[in-house]
Amino acid sequence: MASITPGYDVTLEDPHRNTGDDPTRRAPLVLGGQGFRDITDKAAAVALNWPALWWWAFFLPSVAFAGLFFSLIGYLFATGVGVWGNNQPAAWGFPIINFVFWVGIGHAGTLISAILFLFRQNWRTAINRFAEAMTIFAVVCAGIFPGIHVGRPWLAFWLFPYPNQMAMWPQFRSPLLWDVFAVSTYASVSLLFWYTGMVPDIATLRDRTKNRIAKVAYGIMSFGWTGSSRHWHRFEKAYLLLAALCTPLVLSVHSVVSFDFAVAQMPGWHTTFFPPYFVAGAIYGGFAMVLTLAVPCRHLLGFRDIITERHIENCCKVMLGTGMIVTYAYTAELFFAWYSGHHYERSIFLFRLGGPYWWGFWLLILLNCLIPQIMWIKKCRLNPWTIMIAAMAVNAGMWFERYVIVVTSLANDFVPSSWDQFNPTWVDLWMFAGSFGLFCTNFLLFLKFLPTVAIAEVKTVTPEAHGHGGHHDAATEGH
Amino acid sequence: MAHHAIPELTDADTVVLGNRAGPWYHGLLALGGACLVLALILAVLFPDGVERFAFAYIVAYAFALAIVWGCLFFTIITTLFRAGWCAMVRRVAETFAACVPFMAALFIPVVVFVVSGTGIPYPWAQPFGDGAHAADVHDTEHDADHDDGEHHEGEDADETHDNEHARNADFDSPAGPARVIASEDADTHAEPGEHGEDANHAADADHGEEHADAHGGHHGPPTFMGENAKDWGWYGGALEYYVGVKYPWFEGWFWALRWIVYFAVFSLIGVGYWRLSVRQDRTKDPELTNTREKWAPASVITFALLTTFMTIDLLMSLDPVFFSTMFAIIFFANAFTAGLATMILVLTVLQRRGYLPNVTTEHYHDLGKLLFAFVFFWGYVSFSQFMLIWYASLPETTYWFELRGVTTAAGQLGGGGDTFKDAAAPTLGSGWSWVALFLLFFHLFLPFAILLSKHVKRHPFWRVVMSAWMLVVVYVDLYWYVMPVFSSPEIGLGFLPIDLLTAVGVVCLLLAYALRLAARHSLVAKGDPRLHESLALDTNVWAPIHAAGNGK
Repeated sequence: MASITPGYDVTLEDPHRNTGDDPTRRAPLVLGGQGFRDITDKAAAVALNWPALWWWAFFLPSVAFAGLFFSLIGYLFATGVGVWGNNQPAAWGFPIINFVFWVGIGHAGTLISAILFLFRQNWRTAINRFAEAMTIFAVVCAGIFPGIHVGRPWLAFWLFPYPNQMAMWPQFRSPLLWDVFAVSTYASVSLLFWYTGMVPDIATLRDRTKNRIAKVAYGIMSFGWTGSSRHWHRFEKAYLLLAALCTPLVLSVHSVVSFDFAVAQMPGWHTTFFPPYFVAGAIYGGFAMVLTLAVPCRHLLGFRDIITERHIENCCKVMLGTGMIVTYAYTAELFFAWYSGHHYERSIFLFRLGGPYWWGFWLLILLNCLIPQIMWIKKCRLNPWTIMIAAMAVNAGMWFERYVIVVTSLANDFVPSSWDQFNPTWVDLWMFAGSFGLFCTNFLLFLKFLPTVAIAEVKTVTPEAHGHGGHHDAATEGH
Repeated sequence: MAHHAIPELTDADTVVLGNRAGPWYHGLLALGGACLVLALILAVLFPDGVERFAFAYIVAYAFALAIVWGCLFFTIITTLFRAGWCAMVRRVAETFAACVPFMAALFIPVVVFVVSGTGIPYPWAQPFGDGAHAADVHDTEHDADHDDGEHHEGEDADETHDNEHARNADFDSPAGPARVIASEDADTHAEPGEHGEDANHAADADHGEEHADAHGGHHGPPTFMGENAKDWGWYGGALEYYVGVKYPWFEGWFWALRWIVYFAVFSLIGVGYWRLSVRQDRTKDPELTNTREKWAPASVITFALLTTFMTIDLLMSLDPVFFSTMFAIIFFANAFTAGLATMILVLTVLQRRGYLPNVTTEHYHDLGKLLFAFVFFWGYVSFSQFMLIWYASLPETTYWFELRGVTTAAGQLGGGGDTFKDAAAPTLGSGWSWVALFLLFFHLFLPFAILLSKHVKRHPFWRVVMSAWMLVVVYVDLYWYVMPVFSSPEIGLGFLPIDLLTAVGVVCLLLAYALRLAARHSLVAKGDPRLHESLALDTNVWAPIHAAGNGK
């Protein structure tokens, strides 16, 4: 049948390697000669069986950290935001850094689901489900930080504009309010997209599980999906529309987050290309997190033929590419600080290079711009350890990027008499660590209870879906 | 659906135009030459016409450059992504990308403008080191920084500055920075004292900067803003100050060196990719695809970096005071839009003449999608630049929008009054405001709504209309960037014939050169190993889910 990639090469020398660069043919995306049933078996097994030991080994510490996170939030509520290192002038400390960090991570899921879908990148099918899950959980973590940063968290609902007797409204000209809209829109659309894509697969789980309670639960969650032609028809329409709706959201959320900084007159914040620069950074951080999760998962869950080396290599390339955009942004920022000829602009960047936070800046350059360069080497893109080194570097580097942006600009603003250095407290540090606990807890629960791989979508990119039957000969080109 | 045979390339796809392109080539060459000559004649006949021609040429050049750069980017980015769908249409992009050396030739008039030392159209390209005014700067700056002192003896321009002053004195109603510079210099002769003081301020600020840099200390802002919120009085001081602060960026030798690097590197990329593709026509060697792909990442990175600097040099430095990190990205958005629109139009013209029968609606659909995406992207980056500058309302950048009629803020350009209200932007509601609104609606809202439709992207008539439309608005956008430097708040529509003739002339010459290149080789990259994907392209079956849903 007509397809975007006629001529899947299914004649590999090594059936577990599909990372060749032969331009005359496209590499297969599902390996090991798996049929439709094999894919369902593999993907459903994780959700249907009692979790493996490694799952518990990750889950219990994660829950402990999540508990710590909520305990510290309780401590914060009971005591006040003074437990953080925030001061004047650095009124935005860890909370906003963590918020931007987590929102950024949430971008990769939507990019993979929506933009790669529109670009017909079939390899996205194996990783989109858990990248989307990662998105949702990252946004959950992100949403908590501004909520607890408002000072009187029991009034956090004042963030939302609602008619009230006090005739009191949020400041509509403030990008912080735009953030409320942008992030909540993003969270709801991403959730919808994630869930819509999952419905057929949840129905698969419903049909396969032998546990009565699970059957009822999956039954309710799958909305009575029968897999009829009409269902599929509606599903495809909905999926396409949601993908189109999600695409501008990939740009909008982090653009609005960047406005939090860029509308200010603060040197180092006020620069016009902040929106696309932040979006690229978000995708960068997001793909690092995708790799951080995908590389171990494909080994631990036995998905090596579904999430193949090619998938991982492609993610590495996207990470490297967005990393180069981010590096471009750092370079351009420095250049324009000089080119602007403006006193404060130039000063703040000199401060970044050699001021009290010099270590943060250079660490950022090392982690975000230098270490990930190993991804240029193909061997490094195929070796799980080097991939993890690069991904971890980016995870940390993207956090430091926000640290450098937030803290250096705030701590040394226009008037030297108001300068003060920012030092995080133990609560800051443990809260950040605790947010990882929450993230991992959610993610591990997802691995256990929901279809980790988009079963129905992966099947569409198997060689079989293109009319060649189970095991193949070389007669695949040309159709 | 199932088991469609992949269409075969026909002779009409792989045809080499050869002599058949001759009449077109000569026609374009003659038209282009005639337009430029006519524009020059008009320029000489009318007062200020030559200056206007310089600006019109910059707009026209930027427009032609946008087409070439868009096609260059298309070539390298689709190679980087190993795209198969575009193999049928890629040769058009490659041919335009190979026109970089020709763009270098078209750059010669710009070099002439700069060497003339008049500061038109680039205000930095004039001698600042003249008269009492600048002498003061010299003295003070020598104390602060010896390097800076040297730079005022602009090497290109010394011999012409006498002429220039004679001519500048003729300007009596300053409008737009280009004029202001001139009148500022004329003023200098009349009232050296007042401006000497200005220059001292500037030099002081500079001195303070040195101090701050050395000690990590703190100093007041430069004193250019609001000093003379009248008749652009402050701009002259700011201009001189910033050209000095940005040393050595606006040195003639450095400027020349940069342009040599731009053209050398981009020629290497543009011509290189075209050559590799053309060679593959003969050899059908997939290894050439690997070579192209191997160099694609480096090419894209180089493209991003050098295009940034090139945009500063070509467009942003028309106003050496202004800076914006988004600026180059907006030019890039325009360039890719122009490149795609040109590809669609050129492919249509070729098909009308019976060539390229295997370029199908599907290919146009995909090109149309990219065009749509970049309509959106242009809106996104343009809005971001505007909104952020407008919102922060810092005088050093807001004036740039004021010049272009889109802000009420501050009145930096001088309403003339003492209070904020009196000084409200005189440009608001001027012709440039209407151009800005035109861009908002015709470069963003309307094409967004229209191109959203699949039927428009696939419709043989409407896609041509929309492509032509997008080319026009890209030109208007560049016009809106460049021309207010020459005249604001008035657009100076009387000069429109010069502007348009210049644009048509430059574009015709570019098309002629591209046609000449195209005529020597197949119209399709017939050796591309992914051609079968492009031949079988079917955008209706693109979603993997559809593929399964439709079954076999």
